[in-house]
Amino acid sequence: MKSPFLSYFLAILLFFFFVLLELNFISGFSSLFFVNFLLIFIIILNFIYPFTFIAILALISSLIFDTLSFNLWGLHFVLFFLIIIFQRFLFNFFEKNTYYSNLFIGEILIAFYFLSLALALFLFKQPVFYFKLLFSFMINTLIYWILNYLRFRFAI
Amino acid sequence: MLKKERNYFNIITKVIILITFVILTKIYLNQEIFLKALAVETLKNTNVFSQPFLEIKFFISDFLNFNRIRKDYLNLKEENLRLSSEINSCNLTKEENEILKEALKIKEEKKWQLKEAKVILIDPLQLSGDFWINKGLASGLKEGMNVITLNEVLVGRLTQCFKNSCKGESIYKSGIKIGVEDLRSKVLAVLEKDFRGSFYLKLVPPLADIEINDILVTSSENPNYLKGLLVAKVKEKITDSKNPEKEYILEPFLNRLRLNEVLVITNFEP
Repeated sequence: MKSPFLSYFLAILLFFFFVLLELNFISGFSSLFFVNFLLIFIIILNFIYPFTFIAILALISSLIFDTLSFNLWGLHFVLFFLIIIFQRFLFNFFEKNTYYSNLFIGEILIAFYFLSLALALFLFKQPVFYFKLLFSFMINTLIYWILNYLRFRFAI
Repeated sequence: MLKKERNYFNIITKVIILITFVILTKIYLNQEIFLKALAVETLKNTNVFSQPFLEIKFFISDFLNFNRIRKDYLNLKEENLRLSSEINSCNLTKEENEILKEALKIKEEKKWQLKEAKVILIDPLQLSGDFWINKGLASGLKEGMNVITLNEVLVGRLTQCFKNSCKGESIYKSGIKIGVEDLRSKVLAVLEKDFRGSFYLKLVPPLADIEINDILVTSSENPNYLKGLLVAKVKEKITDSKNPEKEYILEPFLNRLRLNEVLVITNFEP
C-alpha cells in the first residue's frame, strides 16, 4: 500500500515540475496557443486529494498567473477557486472514479475556464485574438483527454 | 444521534471553509503589490536551473521554427554578400568623416545611459505580452524607462517597478501603437499590432515612399519611447488591399522567444 506521505510528496513534486514547465517552456512552444498544465493538473488532483490540499495548490497557481499574465488582479484566483468548487459540486451528479465521468467533468471545467477568460477579456476590453483562446481550449482538452486516459490505463 | 452530530460537524466545517475563503479572497484582492513582488521574488530565487532550462527552451523554439530559421539564414547569406561589397565604399566615407570631425572639433554626442538586466519571467499564457527583469527600484530603474536589446532593438518599456524587479510591456502587447519613421525615406507612420499578432503600418501618408525591407525606427512623436530605436522592417506590401490602412505588413526585429539579456535606458522618463 502506497503511503499517504509519499503520495502527497509526489503530487507536490509533480506540481512544481509543472510550474517550471509552465514558466520556462510553454511560452516557447507557439504564439498561437498556450497550455495551462497547472489547471489540468489541479483538475486531475481534485479527483483524488482533499479540498484543502487542492486549494493551496490552486492558490499558488493563481498567484503565478495573476502576477505574470493579464493585467486584472484576482481573475485567476476567482477562476481557479470557482473551478475546484464547481468540480466538487459536480461530484454529486457524476461518478468520481470512472473514466468517462472524469473525462466529462474535466472537459466541462476546461471549457468553463476558457469561456470565463474570454468573457473577462471581452468585458474589460483587453485586446486579444479570440482564435488563440479557441485553439488553446482545443489543445488543453486534448491534453487533458490524453492524461486522463493514461491515468486510467496505468492506474496512476 | 450520531448522524445528527455528524451533520452538525459537516455544516460547521463548511462554514469554517467559507469564512476562510472570504477572508483569503479579501486579503488576496487587497494585497496586489505585495503579493506580486513576493511571487516574482520567489520565482526568481527558486528558478535556480534557469540557465540550462533556457538552453532547452531555445532548442525547442529553434526546432519548432526550423523552416523560418533556414529561410532567414539563406536571406542573411545573400545580404552578407551584398554588404561585403558595400563595406569598401563605407570605409572611405568613414575615413573622410573622421578627418572632417577632427578638423571641425565635433564632440561625440552623449548617448543613452544604460543598465544591464536579465529577463527572468515572461507571461506564460502570452495574453499580455508582459515580461519581468531582475533589476528594480534598488538599481535606479523607474516606470516608463525604455528597454532595448544589446542591438538597440526596442523591447518595450517598464510599467511597474518593485525593489528588485520590474515588470515591462513588450511591443508584442495586443493593441500597442508606436510612432515610427522610415529610416530611408523619413516617412512617418504608426505601427500597430492586430489581434492575430501581425504588425502593420497605419496612418501612412498617401503616396508615401515605403519599400520592402525598409527599416523602421521610433519617431520623435512617441510620448513613451525614445527616438531612433529599431522596431521592425517592411516585410510585405499589399498593393491591391481593400483596406488602404493595412497596406504594409511588418516584421519586428525583436525575437520574443529569444529574449534574455536586455538594456534599460535610465536617462529617459516620459
